This record gives sequence, structure tokens and C-alpha cells, in this order.
Amino acid sequence: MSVEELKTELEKVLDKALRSIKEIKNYEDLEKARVQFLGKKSQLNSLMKSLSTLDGKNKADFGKIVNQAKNSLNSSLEEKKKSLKSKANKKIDNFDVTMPSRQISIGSLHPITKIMNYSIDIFQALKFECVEGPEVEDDFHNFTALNIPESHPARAMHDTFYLEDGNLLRTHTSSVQIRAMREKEIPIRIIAPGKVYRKDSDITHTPMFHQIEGLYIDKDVSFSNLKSIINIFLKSFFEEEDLKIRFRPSYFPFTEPSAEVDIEYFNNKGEKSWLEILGCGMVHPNVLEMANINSSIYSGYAFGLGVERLAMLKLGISDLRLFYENDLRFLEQFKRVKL
Amino acid sequence: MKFTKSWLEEHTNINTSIEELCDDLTMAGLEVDEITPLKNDFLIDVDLTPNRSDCLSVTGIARELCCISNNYSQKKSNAIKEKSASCELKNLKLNINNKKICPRFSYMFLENVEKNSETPKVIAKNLKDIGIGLVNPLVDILNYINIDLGQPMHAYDLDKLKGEISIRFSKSGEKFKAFDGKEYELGEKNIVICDENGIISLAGIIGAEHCAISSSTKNALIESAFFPPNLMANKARELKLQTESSQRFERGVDFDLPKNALILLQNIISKYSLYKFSDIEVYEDKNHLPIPHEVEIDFEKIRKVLGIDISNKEIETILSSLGCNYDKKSRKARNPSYRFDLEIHSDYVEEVGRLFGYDNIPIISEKIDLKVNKNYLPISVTNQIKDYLYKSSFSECINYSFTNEETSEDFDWKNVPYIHHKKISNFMSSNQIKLRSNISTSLIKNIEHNINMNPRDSYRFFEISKIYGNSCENILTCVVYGNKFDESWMSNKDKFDRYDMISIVEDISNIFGLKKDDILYEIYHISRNEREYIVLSISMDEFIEKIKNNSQERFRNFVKFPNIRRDLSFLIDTSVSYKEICKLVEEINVHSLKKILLFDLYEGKGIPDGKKSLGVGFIFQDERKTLTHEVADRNIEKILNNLIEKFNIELRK
Repeated sequence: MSVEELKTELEKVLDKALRSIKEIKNYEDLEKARVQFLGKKSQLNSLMKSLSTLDGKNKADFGKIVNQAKNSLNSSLEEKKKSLKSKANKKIDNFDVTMPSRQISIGSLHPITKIMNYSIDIFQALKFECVEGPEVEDDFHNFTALNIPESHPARAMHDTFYLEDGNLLRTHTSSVQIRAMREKEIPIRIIAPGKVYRKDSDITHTPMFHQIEGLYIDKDVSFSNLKSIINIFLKSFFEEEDLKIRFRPSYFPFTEPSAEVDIEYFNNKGEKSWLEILGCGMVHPNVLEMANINSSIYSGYAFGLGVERLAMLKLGISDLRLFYENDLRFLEQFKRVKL
Repeated sequence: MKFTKSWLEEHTNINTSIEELCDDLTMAGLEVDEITPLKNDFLIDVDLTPNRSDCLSVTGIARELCCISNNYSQKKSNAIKEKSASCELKNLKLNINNKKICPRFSYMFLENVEKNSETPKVIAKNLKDIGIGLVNPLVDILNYINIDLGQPMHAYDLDKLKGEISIRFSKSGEKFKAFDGKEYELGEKNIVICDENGIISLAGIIGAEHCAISSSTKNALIESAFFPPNLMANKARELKLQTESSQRFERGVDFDLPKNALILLQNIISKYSLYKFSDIEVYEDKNHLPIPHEVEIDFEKIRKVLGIDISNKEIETILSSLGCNYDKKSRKARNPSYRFDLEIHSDYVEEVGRLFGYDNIPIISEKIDLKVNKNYLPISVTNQIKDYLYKSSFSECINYSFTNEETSEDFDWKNVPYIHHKKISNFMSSNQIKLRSNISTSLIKNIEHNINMNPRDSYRFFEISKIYGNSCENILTCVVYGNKFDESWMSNKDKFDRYDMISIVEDISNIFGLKKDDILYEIYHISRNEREYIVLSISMDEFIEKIKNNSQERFRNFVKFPNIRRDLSFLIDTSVSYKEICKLVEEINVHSLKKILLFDLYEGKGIPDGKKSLGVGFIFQDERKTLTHEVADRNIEKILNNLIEKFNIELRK
């Protein structure tokens, strides 16, 4: 055969071999193919033998082409081997990574707990110390010591639950102030989170709710310091540097001057309004004196946050009563460790 | 306090828009609750704080606006003068024994009351706009003056009064029929006004039915008095009889108003030529009238407490705008009679801050000394436990602290019957009768609610709250119900049992470096509505005490020699607790025994009644050398003999 004929023949052989390797489905056939296409009796081998019939340049040229064909067959067989191997592996391991878990799922933390802890963390970073006080209080700590004597009209602002033993359920966490002031050394810088109770129940009031009280007593504490701490807290809480905050004169018997704090709020229609968020003020001198602190030397500020209100805004909860129904459809929405 | 813009304009010139007007009021502490547009007018509702009773009148609001800004100015035309009488003063015998209860009482007589049947149109419109219904011309005018000036007055049908008029405290149990048609039983210390026949009015609250003004009234007695706020406090509330009048008296009415109100009445009567009126008569005891407070103004302190830069002069201007009498020499300020809330220096600090504008006060952070961090243990421990429980598939609940009369509530947290609850004396609903003595009942109700709303195979709830039994205790309670696992393809349908709760106790104690025997807990079943709940309760107070006394975590060197394990499987009486077995083994004092391990418990089929089969592993280790099998065998022999001797155990093959 001429060198041209040999080349054409080689192409045919190679083409046929590569096509049949593609079709191979198992190792056995792969081994057979190796013998068939590369073995001693293979067509390729007999074409190799024809090399001796060629001369000079033709011999070298054709030899090169035959070698190339051999290499390409070898690599095609290797590739097939790999692909068979990976297919075989898959057949043995039918693990389905998309299956649902058979573990019991994690539970949930009550949103009040989460908002409470989130707020406490902010205040602790601002170096407030956490304390607690009793929920069952006496009249002295809840009212009298906070400058709310018996006949004071402000008692009407607090619908109080009284117990048969003469005590009461505290109407605000401000009742913790007096104990803290009497027990601790100045400077006093505390927050007091906890449950409070009022005889009130409608769409915007529950008979039990949560507050966080804050108190700072030292020399030269000013209203501008109070504005600063409230600003920092609210902007941190809502994670909004540009939050609009306004202080508005108000009245609490235990602070003077007193203020109510509003934040700018957009309702779901996009309308802007001010929303009352907390009450605060400079501790009333009568309260300081009740706690044996000299009001001509020391001054201080105090504030009280409603946790439910904060939670509703932060988490977008519209119905206050959901907090105390303990319905899993509500509770299970709060699975994250942090907010 | 409701009023219309046009009514306000009778007293003040307003140079701002309605929005600015309301914003100015709000930012001065007179919070505008609602603005309702009316025809060519606006109805404004201001939510007043209890200290600002001086603003419970249109005059008061107008006066306040003039302090706030130059955009508002008093109308000068409003000065009114006392008129000369158009009828003779009748003889009124008045007897006020206790001058304290009514230090100022003024009155006037009217004749021809029946002749006029129509309320002047302007007055009728003003009242209607703010939602006060018309009664009859005279009463309407008094109501108008009440809102306009802030002085409540009362009109009596003079011909129905008899003899001497006296003012005294009520006696407990005294009955009184008011003109709202209802009979009230009075307590002690209500101020009552009486004639010879009995009570003619509950002072400052409401008049009696029998002598009220009617369409047939010919002659009237008009009362305009001052009753001290401390004696009026809570009185109307106690009787559930709050009126426009009582609301003002209990917060405090300007004691200078009673006569002015009667003068205004004279002027209105003359203007509309309504009735004949007498001269005004005033009985008073100045010793019992409120005294103005004198306060020395400390300018520096005002600047310091507010943190603002304001000159003495600016402060003085604010004081005079408030109507205070300020003496430059002594630096003393005296409050006007209508601002009796200004008693002490702080009150003036607030006024300066308020009129300076809270928004204008700068924001300055305090300088604080950094101190060593103090971790408040109860909250940090509680949060770590909550964290563990929620990651162990429990959902946290928060329930109300009070509860109802159901017998299921009559247990303490250890499930021991308890009935001496803290009772609430003024509950609103039957769900608030007493403070709960356990948490489990609340959590069971939560589970029942969820079984109805979202049924599933497995429920795990917990709550950490204070409960009130013999004392107030902080308790953690976990309640589980149903299968251990939610429905899944694993098809494990095991039910919860009490042993599941033990692992929780163990985990919680281990988290804080304690053992489960260190803490106070109870595990029990509760059956309710044919469902079996499993409850775990832990005393948090006790737990936190234990943690306080527990030293911090430290590394201990561990033994590097290998250990040898020997297992025993045996039958033992069911009455013997695992703890007793451990205790006995520990008492034998085998030095190389390092750990006891329970690997099997079996009761039931194949095991004789009253017996259980236990598989216990014993791990031996020598701290100084490799332990030999001979020693281990000797040790296990010793343990076995003791167990046989003490508990009569029977080895299983």
C-alpha cells in the first residue's frame, strides 16, 4: 500500500475505535477494547508492521502518525476508565444531600427576651450595671418614695393591682430606683429590666408588660447628658444613625424636668408621624432626698422604656396580644440567636 | 381638654397655621392628641399632664400660648368689670364650720330664670363643637364658663332650698341622689353642701336631683367656690362619678377664680339680657387659702442642670412671661395663683427648659469613670439556660403572672398542693384573681392551645418566671408532651418519658460546672384532659446561689496510664435507686475506681416481678502505674460481694 492509502486506512481504524470506546458501559468491555484496538492482533499493530515497507521520509512521517493514534486511543481508554469509576461510586452511595433533617429542629426564644437582651447589651456597652427588684412591691417604693403621695393626682395615671395583704404589683420599674440609690455608692449607673402590671386591658394594653428602667446619679449630671444617652440608645437600637428623635416636655412625679421622647416613624402607607417611645427626666430632688442623697450636690437622670413597644417596632409586630398567646406560629418565627 | 381654634381666638391673636399652633402646644408639653377639621374651624384635643390644671380652660391655653412664642398675643378687649345688681340679694344663711374644706365660697342670686328658654347662639355653638350637650340656658352658660375660664360653678333652684346652708364632710353610709338620677352611698370625707333637709350637692362633683335647675325654676342660687385639691383627690373616682367639674377640682382650680367667674356670668347675662342678678357675695378665710411659694432662683444651677447657655436676663424674661412675681434684689420668684404647681426650684428649671425648648438643649455625653465589669449573675445565668433550652428544641413562653380559681392552679412548683395564694383585691377579670404558684399549669394551657391551633407530634415549652407560693421564687419550668421527635422520615415514634428530663437537668448543671445532685429540681407527670404531660421544674434562686459558690473552671492533670473496664449485669429489687448503688460502691473505697457507668436498664418480660436488670460498667485506673488485670479482678470481686451482701443482687449470665 502506498503511504497515502496507509494514512486513510489508519484514520478509518482510529475513528472506528474511538467511537466504540465511547459506547463502552463496563470494565469488561473496556479491557476487551484495549486488546482489540491496541493488542498484538489489532489493526493498528498490523498497520505498524507496514512501516517496514516504507522508506526515508515516508517512514518517519507515518511512524509519527501511528504513534499519535496510539496515544489518543490510550487516553480515550483512560478517560473511559475514570468515568466508569465515578459512575460506579455513585451507584454504591445513594446519599441524598437534599433530604430534610430527621433531627428535632431548634426551638425559639420569646421576642420579649430577645428585645430585652438586645437592649441590655446596648446599655451594658454604655457601662450601665444590671439590677433587679421585686414585682410585688409596697406602696412606699412604688409611689411614696417616688414623690407620689396618697392624694397625688398621678396615682390615677397608674391603675394599680392591689394584693389582699396590702402590697401591690409594681406599676413601673422605677420602684427599683430607691433600693439602688440606698444600697449603692455614687456614681450610680444602673438599668433594671422586668415585668410591671397595670389594671388595663384593651387592644393597646395588656395587664402585664415589660419595662427597662435606667438611672444615673453623679455630680453635674445634666439634661443634655440625658438627651445624649437616649439618642445613643435609640440610634443603636434601631441601627439608624439618622433616626429623628424629639424630646417633648411632659410630667412624671419622680422627674423634674420631665420629657417624653418621640421618634419619627413611617406607617405602612408611608405617612410620617411621631411615635412616643419612652419617658425620662432629671431625678426629682424629693426622690433623691427620700433615698438619702443630697440633692444640692448630686443630680441624675432616669428613663423608662416599654419593651413591648420596642419589640413591635423592631420586629414589625402589629398586635400586642400576640406576645402572651404563646402560639407556636408566632413563637417559632424567632429562631435566631441574635435579632 | 377639647376646644376649637375659634374659641381660642376669642382670647388670643394667632399668627400661625393650625399645624404650627398644634406643634407649638405639643412641644411646650401640651400634647395635641387630635385635630379634627370642622366647618371653618378646627377642634383641638389636648392631652394634659396632671400638673397643668391651669390649662383646663380656653383662657389657660391662651395664656400658655403667649408664653411660648411671639406669634401669639393676648386680646386686650377681654377685660370685664363687675356689674351693678339688677335684683335684691336674698338672705342666705351660710355656715362653714370647717373653713379648711371650703376656704372661699362666693355666690349670687338670679331671678326670672324661667323667662328665658334659649341658650345664646355663640355659647351653644361653642359647647356643641366640643361635644358638650345643651341642658338648659342657665346650666349651659355655667358649662361654658367652666370651659372658658376653668371655674366650675353650680346652680340650685333657690325655692327648693330650705334654711341654713352648711358645708361639711359626709358621714360614712350617707345616701345622696344626684341629678343624673342615680343614688350614691358616700364614704367618709366627701365634701357635701347641705340645707336644712339634707345634701344639696356633692361639692365640686355633682348637684342633688331635688334642687336642680329645671324649666320651672324661677329663682336660682349660683355657687362659685374653691375646694382644696387634696380633699377632692380620688373622691369622684371612688364613686365612679367623674365630671368636668370634679376633674378640675381634683387637679386644682385657681383659688382667685370664683368671683371672676360670677363677674363673667353677670356680663354674659347683661349682654344677652337674660335674667336679673344680685350682687356677688364672698365668704372666705384667707388663712386656709393656698399661699404662693417663694423660691430663690439659682441661675447657675438652671444652666448646669439643663446643660444650656442662657443669660440671667433671658431666664428673668421667661419668669415674667409665666406670670411670676420676680424680685431682682432677693432673686426670689413668687408663682401666680393659677400656677400652684410651681413650688420648688426644680419646677423653675423645668419651666426654663420647656420655654427655652427641649429641642434647643444640646446633646452632650457625660464623662464617666470606667469601672471593672460586674456581671449580674441572675440574668446572665438565665440567658445561658434559655440559650441551651432553645437550642435543645424548646420554645420559650411568657405567661401572665396572675391566674384564675381553677383547682389546677392549686399546686406549688414542686407539684405539692398549695392554696394560700397571694390574692388580688381589685382584679378586673376572673383570670386575675391571684398570683400563680406554678408555671406548669400555664405551659399546659399553652400546649392545649397549640394542639387546637397547630397539631403536631411533639411539644416542648419552657418559661422562667417568678412564682408566688410561700415566698416569691424564680423558677424554670419545662413541659413536654407527645413524641420525642417531630414527625419525620426517621419514623421514631418514641414518647417522652421522665428520663428525658434528667438529661436536661444534667446538661444545665454541667454548663455551670455543677452536678445534677447540686441543684433543687422536681420531675413529675401531670394528667389533664386525658393527656399526660411531663414536667421539670428547677429553682433558679437555689441554682444561682450554687453557681456563686462554685469556683471557676481550672485545668486538672489527667492520668496517663491506661484504664480497665469490668461490667456487671445483675437483677436487683426495683426499690433500690441507682444512687444507692453508687453510694455503696463509693463507700467500699476502691482506690482505683474512677467511674461508674450505667449501660443498661431492663424491666418487664423475662424479669421477675419487683426486679430490674441493670448493666453497670466499672472503670479502674491507677494514677502511678499501669493497672494489672489481677487488681481489676480483685476490685470487681469486692464490689460484687458487697452488692450481693447489701442488695441481694443476682448476677445474670
